[in-house]
Amino acid sequence: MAELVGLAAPGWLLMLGALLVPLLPRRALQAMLLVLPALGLVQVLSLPTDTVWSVDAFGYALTPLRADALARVFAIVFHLAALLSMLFALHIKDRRQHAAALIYAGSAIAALYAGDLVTLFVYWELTAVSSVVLVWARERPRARRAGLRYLVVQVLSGVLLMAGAIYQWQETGSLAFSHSSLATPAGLLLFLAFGIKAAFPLLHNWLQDAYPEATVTGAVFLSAFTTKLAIYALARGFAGTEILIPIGAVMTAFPIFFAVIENDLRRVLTYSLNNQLGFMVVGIGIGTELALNGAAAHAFAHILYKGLLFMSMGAVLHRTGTCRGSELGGLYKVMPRTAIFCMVGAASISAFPLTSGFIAKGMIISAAAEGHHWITFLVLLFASAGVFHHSGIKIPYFAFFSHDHGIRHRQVSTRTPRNMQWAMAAAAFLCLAIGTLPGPLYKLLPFPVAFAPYTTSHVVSQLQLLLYSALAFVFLQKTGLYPPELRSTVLDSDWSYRRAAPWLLRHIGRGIDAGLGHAQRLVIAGHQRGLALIRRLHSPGGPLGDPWPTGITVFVAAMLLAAYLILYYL
Amino acid sequence: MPARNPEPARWLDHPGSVQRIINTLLGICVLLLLADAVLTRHTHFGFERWFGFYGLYGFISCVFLVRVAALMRKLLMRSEDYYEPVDDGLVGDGPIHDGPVDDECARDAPAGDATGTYGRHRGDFPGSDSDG
Repeated sequence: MAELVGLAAPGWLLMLGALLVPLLPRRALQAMLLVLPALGLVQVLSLPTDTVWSVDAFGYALTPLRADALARVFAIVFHLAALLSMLFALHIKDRRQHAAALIYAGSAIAALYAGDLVTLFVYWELTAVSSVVLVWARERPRARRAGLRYLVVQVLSGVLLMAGAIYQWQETGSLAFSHSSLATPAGLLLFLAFGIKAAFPLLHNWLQDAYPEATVTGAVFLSAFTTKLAIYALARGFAGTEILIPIGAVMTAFPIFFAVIENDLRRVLTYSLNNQLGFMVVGIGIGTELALNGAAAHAFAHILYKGLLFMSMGAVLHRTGTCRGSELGGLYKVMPRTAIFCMVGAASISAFPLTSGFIAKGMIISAAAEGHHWITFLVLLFASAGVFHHSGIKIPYFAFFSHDHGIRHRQVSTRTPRNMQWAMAAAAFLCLAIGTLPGPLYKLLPFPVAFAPYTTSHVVSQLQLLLYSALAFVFLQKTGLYPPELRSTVLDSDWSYRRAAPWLLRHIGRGIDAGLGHAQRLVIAGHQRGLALIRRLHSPGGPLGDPWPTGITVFVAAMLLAAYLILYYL
Repeated sequence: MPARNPEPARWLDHPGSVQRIINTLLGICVLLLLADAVLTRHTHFGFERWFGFYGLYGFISCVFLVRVAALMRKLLMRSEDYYEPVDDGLVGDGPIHDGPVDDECARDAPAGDATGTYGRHRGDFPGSDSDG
């Protein structure tokens, strides 16, 4: 019975489905890819929120299944994301990607229900190992290396998680995954493990490095699960941990500077993804019911609109073979629907009223105001204006509306597959539906909601902030102050391990080499000098090599005896 | 190539249209500023009640953001192949002509042009059409 419950745990349906991927005929495979997430969603909705399943394995109390409201809201949106991404990827013939995506989505969902750290660790690593396939499937040298770097960072996060679990076991005798404190080594290790996956500042660069190198459809999956799993883990383990407020505030602000000058539009999206995670981290750090609700609601809304934006840029990449802002432009004429879907996503990430971003982000900003965190409040407003600027305007503008660089006439593919368009349409519909009718989403949140997003004050303030940002964009474009899109690489913290560390190691290596060589030469030279001295002393004609006259020998012996006598009497 | 396919001018192609969008935006911005005069806000901080705070803050934020980012370029921008060579191959994401597809905008897809490009890519990257 218990085993049956285990197999029926959310997520396993998708993971077991991956086993069938190589066997099924194409049509059946496509049907399965859509049916499994839908079935999973039904399963999550029907699972009572207080279900707990514990087992005793090798003397350790493990809890592979713990259902509660927090896990539920994340599980619902993970299933929606899996469904939409599967639809978007339905035309793909490469079955590795389908299998990897099923395992990836399934393990991320299963991780939400992990009640202990060992179970969490297993799924945590499984998401890493399965998701890297979506990067490698691009089959380009760049993608291969970026995937490898991604995998190293992700596995490192898992190793830290395991170390934290072991420490906690030693300290408390419990492996339970619950609220932790930064005062213990276990808490610190877990915090770092979650922080890497949540792309904390300076731990973030694996995200911008790997996601844009993934396949067209792979990036859509990647944008949904890994980082939001980390947000979930932070919400469960570190809600109300004050240090998260400044960390999150920095996260909202610092990636957007890079987003402005980055040329690859999918990489721009990863920077804004990072910025959106910052809002959630701030919410978790504030830790009030409103803030935690806001973090969960924002994760929910964010997964849908960020997936939509990655889909639209994926469609552009699919059609044109490039995502460089410097080469795109004028695509609204050939991809009018994608342009509209992209703008819905852009409006949602910018939190325009009537979109999902507005009803979610408003909760976090209100929570910051209620907590009188005025610096954080101003940083969040700055980041809100900035995200509109680089995601809301820059992405649709440079892809679809700016000066036509002739990319339309160099199309790689003349069609956007219908399944891609349907996926974008569905995601866009959800963004608008949640934005206009927030009630159902608010009901899913872990705490009762007493937040009214559509007050005159909220709406007018937000419109003022956003439309004056748009005005700033017009002003900067008209005056030529806006930096042009250029084919370039922008250095970020990955420079430290892609350039600085190898350079340093090479030089340290060379230094050690040189030092060793020098020491070796000194030893050899000393050795040779010693040998030469001995040879000189003992060779025929040398001072010790010749026979000495008897007189000198007697004299030396007499002197030694005299010295002995003198020393004796002293 | 474009010369072979003269396309109907779109509304957005008319020089006046962009100006019209900008004028509309300006008009809305003025109205929003005036809203500050009549609106009583529920605020947590004093500065939120300053006249035109949100608009001004949004505008200044964006100008600051873009100018600082432009300065960062001087320090952080390198050539595109700084880390490794650029490979524009489309292997793995190759052109897909399979399954039910729908032309999003058929009249704008110059067939000869597109297949020519496609052929060139296929030549460059063998196997590009072997998977999705």
